[in-house]
Amino acid sequence: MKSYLALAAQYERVHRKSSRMSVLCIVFSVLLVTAVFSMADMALRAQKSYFIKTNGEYHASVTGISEETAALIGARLDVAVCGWTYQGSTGMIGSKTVSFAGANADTFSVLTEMAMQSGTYPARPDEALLNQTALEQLGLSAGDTVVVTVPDGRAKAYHVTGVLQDMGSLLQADVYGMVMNEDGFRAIADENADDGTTFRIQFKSGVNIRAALREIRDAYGLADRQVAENTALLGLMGQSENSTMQSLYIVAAFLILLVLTAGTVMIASSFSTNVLERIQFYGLLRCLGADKGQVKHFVIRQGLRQSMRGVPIGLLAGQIVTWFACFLLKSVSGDRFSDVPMFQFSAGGLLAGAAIGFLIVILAALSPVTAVSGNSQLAEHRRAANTSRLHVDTGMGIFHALSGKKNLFLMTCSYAISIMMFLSFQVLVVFLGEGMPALAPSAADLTVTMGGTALDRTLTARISAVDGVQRAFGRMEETELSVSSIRGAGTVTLVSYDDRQLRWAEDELRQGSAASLQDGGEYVLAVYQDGQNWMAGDTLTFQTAAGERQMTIAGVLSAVHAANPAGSCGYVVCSEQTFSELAGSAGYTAIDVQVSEPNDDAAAAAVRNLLPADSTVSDKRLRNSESRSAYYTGAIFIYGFLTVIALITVVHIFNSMSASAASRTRQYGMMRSIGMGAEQLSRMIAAEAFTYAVLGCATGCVLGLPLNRLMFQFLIAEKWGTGWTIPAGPLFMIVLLCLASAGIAIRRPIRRISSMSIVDAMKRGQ
Amino acid sequence: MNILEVQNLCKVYGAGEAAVHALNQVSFSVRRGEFIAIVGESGSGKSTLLNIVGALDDPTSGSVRIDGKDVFSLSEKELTVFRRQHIGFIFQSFNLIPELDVEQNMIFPLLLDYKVPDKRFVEELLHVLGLTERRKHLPGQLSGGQQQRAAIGRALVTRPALIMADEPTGNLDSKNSQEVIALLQSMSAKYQQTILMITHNENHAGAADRVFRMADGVLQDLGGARQ
Repeated sequence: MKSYLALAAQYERVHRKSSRMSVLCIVFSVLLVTAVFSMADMALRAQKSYFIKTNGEYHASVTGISEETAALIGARLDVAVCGWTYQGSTGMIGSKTVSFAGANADTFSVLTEMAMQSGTYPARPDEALLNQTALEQLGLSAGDTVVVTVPDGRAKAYHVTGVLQDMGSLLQADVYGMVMNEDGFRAIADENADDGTTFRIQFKSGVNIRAALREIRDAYGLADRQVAENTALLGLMGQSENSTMQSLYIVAAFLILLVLTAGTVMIASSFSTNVLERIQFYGLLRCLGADKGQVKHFVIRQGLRQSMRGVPIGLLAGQIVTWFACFLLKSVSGDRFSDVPMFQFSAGGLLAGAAIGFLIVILAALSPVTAVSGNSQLAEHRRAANTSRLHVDTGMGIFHALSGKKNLFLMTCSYAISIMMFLSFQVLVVFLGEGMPALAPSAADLTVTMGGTALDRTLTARISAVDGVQRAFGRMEETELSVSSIRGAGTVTLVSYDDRQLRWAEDELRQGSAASLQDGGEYVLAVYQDGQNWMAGDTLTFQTAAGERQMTIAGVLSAVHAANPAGSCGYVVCSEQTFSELAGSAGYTAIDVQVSEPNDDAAAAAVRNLLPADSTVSDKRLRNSESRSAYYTGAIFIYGFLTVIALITVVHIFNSMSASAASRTRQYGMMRSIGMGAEQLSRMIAAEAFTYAVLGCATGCVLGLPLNRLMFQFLIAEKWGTGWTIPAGPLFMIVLLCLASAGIAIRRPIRRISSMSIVDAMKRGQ
Repeated sequence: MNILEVQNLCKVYGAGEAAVHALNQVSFSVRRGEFIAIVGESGSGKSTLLNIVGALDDPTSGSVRIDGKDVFSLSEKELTVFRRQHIGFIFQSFNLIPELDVEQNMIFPLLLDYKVPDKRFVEELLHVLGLTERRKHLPGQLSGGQQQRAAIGRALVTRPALIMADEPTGNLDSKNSQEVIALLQSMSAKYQQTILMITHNENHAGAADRVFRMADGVLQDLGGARQ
């Protein structure tokens, strides 16, 4: 041994078990921080890559500027790429609408959401790309010529040079997509092109985009409405001025703080459990002549040694958890995140994990030094345990928990922070699910409409019979139906639901029930609309062709599936029978079709063949799959966070209880020697563990629920008007997990102490 | 009548050539109310003997009968209750529970039995032990002598058949040591308690009715010591 510092290694060898526990705590805390930060980073990268794919990689778009201004903007040093994109004009190919777009090849490939699947980019004004579905439906391929009716009514032939990748927006609108170069588009553009013509800008990396846009506005005298940011992309880059994004930034900052606090508390808590043993040792060093500085150096050396072992393992484990989440993402999201590499590292996540691991370990390690240099840490009790109201074993257990203030604070915080994190992240899951009609069981893959003409109601049965179609169901709609109630008068759009749709609607109810509508009768469902305060139980008076008709609101839905716009009082949903009574029995306004296999184009084509020629089929499959992917991506990462948090909570509780019981082994042995039975010992340890758990859960609920409510108001209620309710399910789950962890955590120490001979137990710590 | 009968007690630690015979064929018996002192060098097996007789440790062979009951034939649960009700322990390092005050420490074995303590008896003990004024004090607020007196009170509160005292004066100064020995002596007489006490101090052994000497795991009865 060349230096007293070498004693650190010696100490670890002798106290192998407690050292191992400290290292394990470091591993889990670093794992928590690394995994959460890396997963967040990966989610951001995945979303960014998706938004680039779907919106284009531009940062801002400018409208209503001259070529000269555009050239001046393009010449700025902070601009990387820029160019014009033209949209808005439409024409016809046969009986089908075609939407035109124009851009030069560079702008098309970088700044737009469009992508060329194959072929070459149009170089001449009479060349074009046509989307894949259009080519399939028209029986064409690259190299063929297509005749298009351009906006001024002329028929013009275009040479198809390549295939434009299908986009959800085209399929949903049931139109073809055609891309030309700038000259080609300008040659056919009509006045509609003005609205769709934008000058898109991508700034160089590291540029303060907000400041750059302000400069551009000021320099060229542009109005605010002329400059629009690409909110999705800038939002992910942390540069958005959008208010929803600003809200999300605040939430993200708060969650980061919460995760860092959790990591800190867990390490500090774990270190405090074996502090007594270490204080005795440091006290011994002081007795042998070590000064405060030397003890401090020794402690830091010890902390660093443990960090050197724990941090790399934690980083690796966090990375593996992240990769697993990425793997899940790829397998669930399919095409959408196919380009997210599997084995990426997140510098932010690794740095955060390592920093937490080293810094907090050293800070936590230093606390016993302060204790040694100050008063004795062999905590003198100031008051006696309460043994008059409770059984002595239970009373002692509770007293053990309550008497160590620091330990009590840290243990309570561990539970409370876990619950708070769980309840915070839970809001994000709800946030994801809100406004995602694609996730509803009623989500249609195809929606058939025929302008203002009603569709034959028997069509649903014929469509349902098509091979590959899972089900088809229709809605009748009547607009501008006059209605009055004690809360005011106006018009509504009346929508009919069949029995199945009414069953599905149960899940979308904000209040009341939809069950009474299935029998027909005098009941309807109102639909939530901002500023409209209809409640379940209100009576509505409809002005129908047959006179006034009174109906009762059985419930209020949060959303409705309808093809027509809402009336001044929104929508009202009723059964088909009631609809016929109120508005007459017409055909369906829209028929929704769900296919068994979303990729089954044959089924979609077969449905089209059944329909009248002037009907429109809105193909929502791609959009639905994109929405579902977005949901699952978020859900994987958020549930990933929650799983990591839950696991860390469990492991931390296990460690803490084990360490706490180990530090009292001698006392337990002494109590057994004077007659404490194994069951009483178990009750005592259980009382201690459950005191921490109950206090922690109570604190977690007291702080977590208002936090949950605040975040809910912030992210959901203000946007969708959904009312906050106590998240009973998730709350029950996390509280149960905490209590179960406490219950399981005490089993091992109890078994260990019970199996140890009394004499051995009493020798511990002597 | 014998309250304690020990027959051919052996305790071996380790095996083969490394085996250590801590107790070797130890046999003796003690009558009710007797005050026995066990003396011997460190490592001679005194504490091992006390731990086994007090059913805190298992013997390798032999038997211990307390009040006619073979303690090692009892289940773990029965043994715990038996120990609580029939044996009192006094340790060198007092082993009071730091979270409980003097009175709570004394009645602790009764609380473990979920019994309501006999208030008069507790008051009497506190008085006899000179702890009435200190009854609400925590162990940390007491001197060593006071702590050991509280430990003696704890050992007496269940009126056990047998009290085991392992070097009860080991951590005390000579004045407090004298007091504790006098107290044990008077308790033995007053409450007809049988006491088995380990001590290093030959003078303290002089207070006992009989003295045993342990050497290399073998027990020797030195006979009466009290003058």
